[in-house]
Amino acid sequence: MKLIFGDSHVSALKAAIGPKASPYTLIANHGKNLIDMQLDLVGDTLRVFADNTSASVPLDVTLTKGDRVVLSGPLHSSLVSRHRFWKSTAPWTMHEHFPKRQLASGNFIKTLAQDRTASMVQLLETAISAGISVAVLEPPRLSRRALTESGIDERVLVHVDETYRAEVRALVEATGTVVIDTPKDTHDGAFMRASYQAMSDTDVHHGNKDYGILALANAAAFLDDETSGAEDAKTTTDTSQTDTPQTGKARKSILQKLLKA
Amino acid sequence: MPNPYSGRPAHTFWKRAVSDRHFSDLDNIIPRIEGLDTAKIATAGSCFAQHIGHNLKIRGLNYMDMEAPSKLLSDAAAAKLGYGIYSCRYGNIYTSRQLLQLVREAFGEAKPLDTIWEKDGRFYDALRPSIEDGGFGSVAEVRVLRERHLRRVRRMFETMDVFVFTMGLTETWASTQDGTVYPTAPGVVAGNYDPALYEFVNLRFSEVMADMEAARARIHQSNPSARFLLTVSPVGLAATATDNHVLTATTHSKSVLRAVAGELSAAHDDVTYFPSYEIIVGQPSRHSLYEPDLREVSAFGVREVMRQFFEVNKVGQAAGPASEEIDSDFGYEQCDDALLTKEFAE
Repeated sequence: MKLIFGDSHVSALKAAIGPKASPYTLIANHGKNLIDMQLDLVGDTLRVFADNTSASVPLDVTLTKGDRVVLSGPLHSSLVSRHRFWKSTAPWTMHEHFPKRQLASGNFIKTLAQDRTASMVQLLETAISAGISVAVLEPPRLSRRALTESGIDERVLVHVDETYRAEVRALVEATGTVVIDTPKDTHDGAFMRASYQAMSDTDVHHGNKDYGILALANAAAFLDDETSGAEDAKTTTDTSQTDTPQTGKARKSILQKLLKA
Repeated sequence: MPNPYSGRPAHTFWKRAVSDRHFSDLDNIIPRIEGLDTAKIATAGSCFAQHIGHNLKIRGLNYMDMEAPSKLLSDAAAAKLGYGIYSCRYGNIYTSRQLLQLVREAFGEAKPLDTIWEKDGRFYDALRPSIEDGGFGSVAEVRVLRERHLRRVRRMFETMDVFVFTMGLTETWASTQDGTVYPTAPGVVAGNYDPALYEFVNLRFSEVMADMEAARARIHQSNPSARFLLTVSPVGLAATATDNHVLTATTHSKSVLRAVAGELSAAHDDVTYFPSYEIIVGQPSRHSLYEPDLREVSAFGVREVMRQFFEVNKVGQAAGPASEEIDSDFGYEQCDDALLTKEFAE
């Protein structure tokens, strides 16, 4: 099975595929269901179950040895960086800019990353031990709308977002899992480009179908590349930047199919 | 033939108040604190005080948390960073000298010299070394965060209505340079023990009394209506630096602290003594409220003390949370002195 599953950012990839038949299974669920998952490993079969919120159906996925899986969720920084806590608190390194605020230590975001991703990291470790090839998909960068609507100082928002992602990335990579970067073309280094933003008035952090097409192509390159697996893929991967001839060809083929739709 | 004890209430007679009573049914032992339901309450002290703050908070009282963690953090992760343990992130304040030092530092009237300890390339705030698991990344980080922390502490002292303080120890380690005292001996969490730089101090009754009077006076200077609720920690010394047996040393320290608490409450209307110490240590419990190590108070013991307190002071959520919801083990991971127990467990 070639599976992309995890939080709501999978929805953009689903939108990219639309109603067409796909070689990939895509499951989007609520982010809360990734915070605390029940993992049952029996032989070569790993069942992942969570029912942490009434806002979603339970997450219930069964993986088996040989599956290739892309997980979206660990690097979902939006809820952390857009949290109102950062209106009254600043990273300690910015103390001169915010002389009256409470300050967060360097350990704060590191602890936050460990705390929020513990269950997901455990999932990655368990999947790898079961012979399941797994990668983690980075979600889009924040939109500028997130900045405006949160009321958080831009310097704080960007710093927290980048630091949190870096801390989680380190945790994920320490398990031997590949991180598939958010597509390079979809952001300006700090924020998602407007052309890739979801257009809903209330949505401040998801990508649109065009984002989904690019992200899906990157994920597909991992899912279709039978030569790469968790054990031999130790490096961060934005396939748009590091295509091999084989994966580049596959990615272009996927993109062409998707763009024709 | 009448005598001065004739007609005295039952709780003043040992047989009727103690011998014939179960520890859960002691009468007239818990003081009633006026206005507790609306008062802004701050807590500090030795690790037993963590339970008091925790219970005040979960019962919905107006508990001050001047350095609140983000709700993004789980309680366990927040506690790892010293959040939510006390009203500010000062860690455990074991001695009267430490309290006075904090008061003076918060009001800008003292500046301790030796305040940053290093271990394995990480830096620790020596005045609250367990506040951040693993220490800080740089000296600058320690300094900046302490300066901002002290502002919160000052604000807390200026605005609180009731200050709950649990007196824990008389034994402490002090800098030979300026007398600064530390919550842990140098070398336990971080730093290095150098006899030329640090000395052992066992505060005497007069010193503890003077410290507490000075701390109270300084707080009142900025906040004249502040009231104080004192308790004495029933947790024994993990180790003594005196030559005495640790049991003798514990009895001595607790006796000094208990006497000071009594003296202060007798001398000042704004000071009340809450006898959690007697409930835990006293004969009625037959030491059943301790863990098997006879040092730490059991979860049940903590629950019992707080139940009695809230039963008399009918404040907060009427029934309080169900007993199984109370995390009575809360806080014991944050006891610096327990590190000595671990170190010498062999």
